[in-house]
Amino acid sequence: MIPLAILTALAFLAALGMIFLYAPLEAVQGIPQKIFYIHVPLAWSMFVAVAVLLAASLAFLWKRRPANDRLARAAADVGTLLATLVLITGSLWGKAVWGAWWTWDGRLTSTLVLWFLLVGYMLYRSLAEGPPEQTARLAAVIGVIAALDLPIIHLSVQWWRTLHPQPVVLRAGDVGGGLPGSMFATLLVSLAAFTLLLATLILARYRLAELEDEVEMLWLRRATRRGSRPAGSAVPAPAGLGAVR
Amino acid sequence: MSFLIAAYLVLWIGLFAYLVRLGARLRRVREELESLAQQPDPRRTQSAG
Repeated sequence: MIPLAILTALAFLAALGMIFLYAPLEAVQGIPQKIFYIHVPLAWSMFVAVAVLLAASLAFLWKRRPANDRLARAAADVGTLLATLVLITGSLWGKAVWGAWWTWDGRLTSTLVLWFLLVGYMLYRSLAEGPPEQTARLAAVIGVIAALDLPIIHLSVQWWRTLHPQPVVLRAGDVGGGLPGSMFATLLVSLAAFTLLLATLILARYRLAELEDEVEMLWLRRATRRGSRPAGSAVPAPAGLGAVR
Repeated sequence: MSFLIAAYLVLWIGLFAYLVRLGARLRRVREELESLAQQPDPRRTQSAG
């Protein structure tokens, strides 16, 4: 965990150095184009986080292993953060380049829909009061539904006429061909840094979910005799305890 | 220029806020786990009494 965090920090230092010292200034957009080097990797990390949510949710629905549910929780939490940052950095870049904070364009709207789905997932997880197994099962279904938005986001710029630019990196048969070499290299380093960050955050959040489950198990074991637990517990009350948070 | 600064600020503030919140939650859950581990199990206490 700590070596991964150190590697992530080093990758971020390298990425920032390349963004501001190595990558050339884009001729048309100028300085605001440098938002590209964080906006695209954020969007990539968001895609990976939601893909992890999908895989973990499907695995939980199939095998019913708590570890898969914990991974889904971690991926959804981190995915929500990333989706929020994608929307905000995109909005800032849009204002600088298009002159508008927001437009109801296919790519932007489908990303906003994903954000709502992820926030809905997190709200459901924190507010659900049914048996934990049932909560996890329904959350897994919500996770799968949220992930169905990924192909829509990816293909939205091809399906609809949008203000959002067409892909310049992942073009069929010409990966990275839409960018000069120095910009593409900078983007790759930034993508690597954000992928490492994603792994670090998901691992840390997974560890938290593990500890929360341990606390919940301890309370469940004692609850049969004691009835309830004190207010201010760090972990949401397990269903059926009538506990006070 | 201001949009670039704002975008990078949002990124770092968002990430650090998340990390601080995650760290605080980890600490609270660890503390609760430790205090639970130190408390005697009520079933054992009752059966002993």
